[in-house]
Amino acid sequence: MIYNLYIFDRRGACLFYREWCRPLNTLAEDPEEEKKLMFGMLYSIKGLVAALGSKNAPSSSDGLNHLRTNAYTLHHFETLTGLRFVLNTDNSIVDMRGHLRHIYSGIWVQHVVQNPQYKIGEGGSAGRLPPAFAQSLEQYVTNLPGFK
Amino acid sequence: MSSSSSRSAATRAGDQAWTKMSKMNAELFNLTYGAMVMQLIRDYEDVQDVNQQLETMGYSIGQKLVDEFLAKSGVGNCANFREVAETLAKVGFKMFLGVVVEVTAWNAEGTAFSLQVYDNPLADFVELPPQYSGLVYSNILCGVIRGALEMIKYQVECRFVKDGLKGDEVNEIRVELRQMVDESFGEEYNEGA
Repeated sequence: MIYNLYIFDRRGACLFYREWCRPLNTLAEDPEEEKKLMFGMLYSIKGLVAALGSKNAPSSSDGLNHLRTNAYTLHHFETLTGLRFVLNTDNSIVDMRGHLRHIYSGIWVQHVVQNPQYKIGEGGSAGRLPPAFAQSLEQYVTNLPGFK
Repeated sequence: MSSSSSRSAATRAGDQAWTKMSKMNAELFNLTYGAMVMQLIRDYEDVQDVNQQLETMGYSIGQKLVDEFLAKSGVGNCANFREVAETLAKVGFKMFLGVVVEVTAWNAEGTAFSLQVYDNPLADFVELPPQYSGLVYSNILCGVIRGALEMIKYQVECRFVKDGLKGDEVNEIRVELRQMVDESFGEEYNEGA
């Protein structure tokens, strides 16, 4: 079961948020606060991971991959340009990073980056993303095996 | 040696990425670019303004191009600036322009290098008349490099030091690292916002 998806840029602005199923939302009155808290948490964890991490040359799987609690799993994928894709699912789904990578390379790059009217940094409260992105994303996510 | 193996790995990655890209007609690309430069000259008149405008346009292109590059080439993190240079030359230029580019002339600190572009598809069929000798015809490439590298946190300055249109045998772009870009947050993260 897939709960929701956040897309953050490297400055912490939430470019996109989509919710499919959310049984409990304690921050319903202030969605902006919730997004800031989410980004803040991920940023802090990234700092921790880097401090505790290996001394080898960093690879793309370095950094935060999953965060699992008893209620949900958070899947995290960060691109080299600082774009973060954060997907919350239930604990039955083990690894969504491949899917997040596809959302980045197949859907985000194709519909947002290659759209001539999109300026870097737009989205979220700053402006609207091209509608083709939301449609493609919807189609992709609802057809994923774990979606229910 | 690790540096030569990384060079050939980059070349392989570049060739693979090139085969996956959709191709367009080279003459159409070349003539469209030429028409755009001509229009800029008519609009701005001063050649230095045109150079600046080309660089700015390239910067916006580069910011977006890097995401497409990362998505389609699948290259991972580069450990240092040298790897960045090799990846840029062997994978980046190969993927988008289909040309082979060499990295040369590293400075002592490893913070500046030159790109030897033997074949510049933008400048095919182009002759630079004497009154436009100050024009850097392919300055858009400098902007693209600057925009793309800035998105992966390298702030650089690029300029053409040798230009095939001005009589040199190769085109050479000098890329100099100024600083690493610090992560700064949007205003909503400031205290009391």
